[in-house]
Amino acid sequence: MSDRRTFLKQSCGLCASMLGMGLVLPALNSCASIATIDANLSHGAIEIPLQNFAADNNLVLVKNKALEFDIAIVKLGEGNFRAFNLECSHQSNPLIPTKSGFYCNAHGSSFSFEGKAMKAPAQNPLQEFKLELRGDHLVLMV
Amino acid sequence: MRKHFIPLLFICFITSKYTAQVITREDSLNAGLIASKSATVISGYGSFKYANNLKDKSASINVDRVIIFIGHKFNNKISFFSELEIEDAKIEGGAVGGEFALEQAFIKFNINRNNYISVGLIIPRIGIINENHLPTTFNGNERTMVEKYIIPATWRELGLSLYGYSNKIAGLNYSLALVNGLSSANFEAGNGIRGGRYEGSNANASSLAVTGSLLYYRGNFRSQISSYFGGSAGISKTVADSLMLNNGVFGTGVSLSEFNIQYLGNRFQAKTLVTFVQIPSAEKINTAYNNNTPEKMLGSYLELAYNLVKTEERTFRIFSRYEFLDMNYSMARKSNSSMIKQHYLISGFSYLPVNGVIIKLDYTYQLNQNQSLVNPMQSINGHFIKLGLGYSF
Repeated sequence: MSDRRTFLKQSCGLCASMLGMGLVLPALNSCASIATIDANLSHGAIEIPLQNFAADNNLVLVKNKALEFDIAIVKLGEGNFRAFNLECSHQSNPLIPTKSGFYCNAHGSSFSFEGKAMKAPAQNPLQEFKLELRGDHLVLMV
Repeated sequence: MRKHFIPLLFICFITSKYTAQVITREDSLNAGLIASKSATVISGYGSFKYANNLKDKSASINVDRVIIFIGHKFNNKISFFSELEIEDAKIEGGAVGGEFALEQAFIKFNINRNNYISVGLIIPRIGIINENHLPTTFNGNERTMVEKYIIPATWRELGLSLYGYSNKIAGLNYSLALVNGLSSANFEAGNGIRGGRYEGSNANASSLAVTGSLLYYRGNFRSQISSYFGGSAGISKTVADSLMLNNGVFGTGVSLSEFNIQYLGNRFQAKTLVTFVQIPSAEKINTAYNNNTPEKMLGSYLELAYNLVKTEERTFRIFSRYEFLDMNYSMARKSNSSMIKQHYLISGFSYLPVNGVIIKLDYTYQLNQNQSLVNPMQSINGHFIKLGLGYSF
């Protein structure tokens, strides 16, 4: 009986710590969300208004049901934008976008905002899409 | 020459036949097949190791493992992943060592862009090495001892797992898995719960386990907390009663908790992990199976590394890691096992001449403090030099 009580107590402790981390993390990072666009795909192109890169925001995620993976638009400097498919070049797993790069949880690969493989096992860079700057918006060709 | 011609022709025929059928990752990308419909992907990894025991003045050399990965994408929603492993180069009937086993085999269903479910033989997100076990991803010729004996990596079980990440909190990932439980009959003193894994082979599904994780990336930091909670006596009530064990889905429970944090800078890198296992029914397990199961196990390590050279292709990294394991942190009554604390200090370098190939050289100092009541001063020391070669593609 005491075994069960101890076990339940300890397991609840574990769950509480998990929950605690879940509560603490958002507080730590409440301002770190990534701008996301549910984009319309028209004739193989997606338009992204530049206002999404307001202030110090240098990363925008583009989602479209026709695309298998999200596309990350990265602002590397004034007028310097690049678009990458968030598919790990190792085994096609989805990449996790963060404010510091792209990570693959499957085997630990990581990629820079320039799309370069920074950590093995991935060796190849990310697939890049053509991006054109037209007035106050970007046009992504997929 | 002529006698080699026919076999050569046969090999050419087989090779051409399969190259016609199997599309490599690179071909798939070039052909644009990945982005459109379906593709078969092949990759793999492996490692070789020379180990010299300086104390015993003996040496060994081995093919530690060679793994072939085969994956197939049926459509944009459903994919298959598998890893087939051969350890120690060959498996011979009756011989000690060697393993030919499935390391993973699951079907992945994409629910939406942020979430997917894997069903089959899966590797839950527990610790660092369990998921990221390719030789090119860790320093040292051996996987960490803590993640071999306390967290029994590579720990795979049958079940299903939900994986996902949050858009609102950049860098926050989560996973929740339901898998088969362990077999307490196969726990071993000194090896913890490692022997109790089913690894997909005729697993007892009467006991189950739940495991979950939160993983968070911020800047160069990667932190993770995970826990595991599951039964280890998936036996009938009659048998359980006769052995005085608690059966049922989570009967004779085992819990494992783990926390790790990594700093992955361009030059400086650091990682630390702490894990703790509790088996409250250890005394009952010992009464039933006489296997000296501990009540609690504890392990942790700290690794510091520095990239002396880091270019797009080449990396030369020096590292040092200290590991501490207490496999018998708390022992149940009716146990004959002594208290054993293990310390490891591993220092060396990893050289990647190209991303995907790694040369490793390390020195390991091992101290096993056996605080046996019979001989409290007994200790086993070891000094090893290990040279290894690994690859992944």
